[in-house]
Amino acid sequence: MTEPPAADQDTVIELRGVRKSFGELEILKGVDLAVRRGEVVVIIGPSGGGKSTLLRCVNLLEPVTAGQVFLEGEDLTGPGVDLNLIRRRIGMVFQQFNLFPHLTVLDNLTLAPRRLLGLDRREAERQANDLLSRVGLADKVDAHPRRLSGGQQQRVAIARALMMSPHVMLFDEVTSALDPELVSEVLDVMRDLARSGMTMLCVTHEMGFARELGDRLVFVDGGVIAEQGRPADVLDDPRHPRTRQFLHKVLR
Amino acid sequence: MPSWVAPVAGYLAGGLLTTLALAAVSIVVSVVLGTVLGALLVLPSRATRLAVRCYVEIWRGLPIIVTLFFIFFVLPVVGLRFDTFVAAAIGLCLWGSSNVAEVVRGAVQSVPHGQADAAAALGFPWHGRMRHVVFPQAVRRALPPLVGLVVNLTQQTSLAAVIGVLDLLQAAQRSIERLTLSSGVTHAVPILGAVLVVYFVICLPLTSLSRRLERSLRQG
Ligand SMILES: Nc1ncnc2c1ncn2[C@@H]1O[C@H](COP(=O)(O)OP(=O)(O)OP(=O)(O)O)[C@@H](O)[C@H]1O
Ligand SMILES: [Mg+2]
Repeated sequence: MTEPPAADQDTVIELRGVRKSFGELEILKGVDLAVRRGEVVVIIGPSGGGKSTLLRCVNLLEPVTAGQVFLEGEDLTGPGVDLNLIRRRIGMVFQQFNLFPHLTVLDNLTLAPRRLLGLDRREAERQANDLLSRVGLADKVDAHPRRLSGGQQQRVAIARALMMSPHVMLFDEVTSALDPELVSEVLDVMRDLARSGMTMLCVTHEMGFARELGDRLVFVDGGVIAEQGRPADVLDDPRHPRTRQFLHKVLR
Repeated sequence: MPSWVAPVAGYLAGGLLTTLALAAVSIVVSVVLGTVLGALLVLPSRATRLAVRCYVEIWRGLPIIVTLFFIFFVLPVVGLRFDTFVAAAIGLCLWGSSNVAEVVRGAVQSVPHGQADAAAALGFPWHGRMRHVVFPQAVRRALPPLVGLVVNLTQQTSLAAVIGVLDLLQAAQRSIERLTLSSGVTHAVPILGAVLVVYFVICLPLTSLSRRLERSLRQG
């Protein structure tokens, strides 16, 4: 455990022995996970198994109880780390979108780059328009979030995260709150992003997405990584009985 | 028009000015101080929260009239003497600011946690999350209950009469007493009727504003 942190710049995220408790209840019981640059890691597992908690420990929205989290070799759990600066490099997209309802789509995108990066309005809006075109919502710049469908809101949320030019993106069941017919428009954006070389850590129940785009599939159960491997291998030939049981339920 | 009407009306008008002044002072101080206190109640610092919580629970929990008696009759014993208007204003501000603080705290905490999470994930420090994301949404949620409190404060100014402030209600009461002494007729019905109409006219636009705000909030 005392070896130097992943000095090779190819490891973007590394968790070492991460534990997380809420009061008496231990949710993560020692998670080790390294994500290489450009890798798409898909996390699956039963409800309540700690997938969201795991993701929130990566950008330390939840402070870890024990263990270390590294971003590009830097120990985020070390003393004197400014998490607010670190989080600019880690994009996050939530199941419930969490767009800012008091702001237009454009202002949702430009708020952070203008306030935090000091971008002037013109430049921020140019970038926002580019990203909105990329997610197919160029015509919605002036709309308010509540006027958009769930799929549109989630694409705006992805664009908002991308405005900070993150080095890695975290996705927490971003299609779970959507009507079935809206799932694919969001997955299309994620596919685009994965192909562009973005490093991604995705919690999802979309096994098709995992198989197609995942470089690695991680099965989280009972607060640990019970099994991981190439998506096709894990999906077609799970080793762990819990994985088998879980997949049997979701693929049925 | 009977001869008693003009002087009584003039006297009531003076009372009304006092009522309005008392309401204005209490409302302004309560809203400003209460907003600051409410903001302190959502601060991460536990000690600050505890101190403000004590203030809020005490002054919100006491009936205003008890607070007024305390300020006017008890504090002079320890050498703190206030004139009736100031005593009434202090009492109303204590009650008003603690209630505003609760409204502000509730509004801030009613903004879903996901909002602050999303702002934090973008890299906003705590004050940035509050300033750009949480407070703007909390203000919209706080407005209808705040207008309600403003109405309530205006109504509660009538309690100042019990410690002798010459407000609208007190002016009415004294007019009635004097007319009874001088002419044997109370004229209570027209005088109190006028008082009722005046309070109604002051508060009605505010209550309907509160309702409108609530409706527009519901429609998002
Ligand atoms: N802030 C919190 N305080 C207390 N308990 C929490 C908190 N957040 C999560 N938990 C608990 O931690 C456990 C794991 O939650 P988590 O959301 O990480 O699971 P999950 O795998 O994402 O589940 P799902 O598939 O339902 O999203 C749950 O039992 C949950 O109740
Ligand atoms: Mg979850």
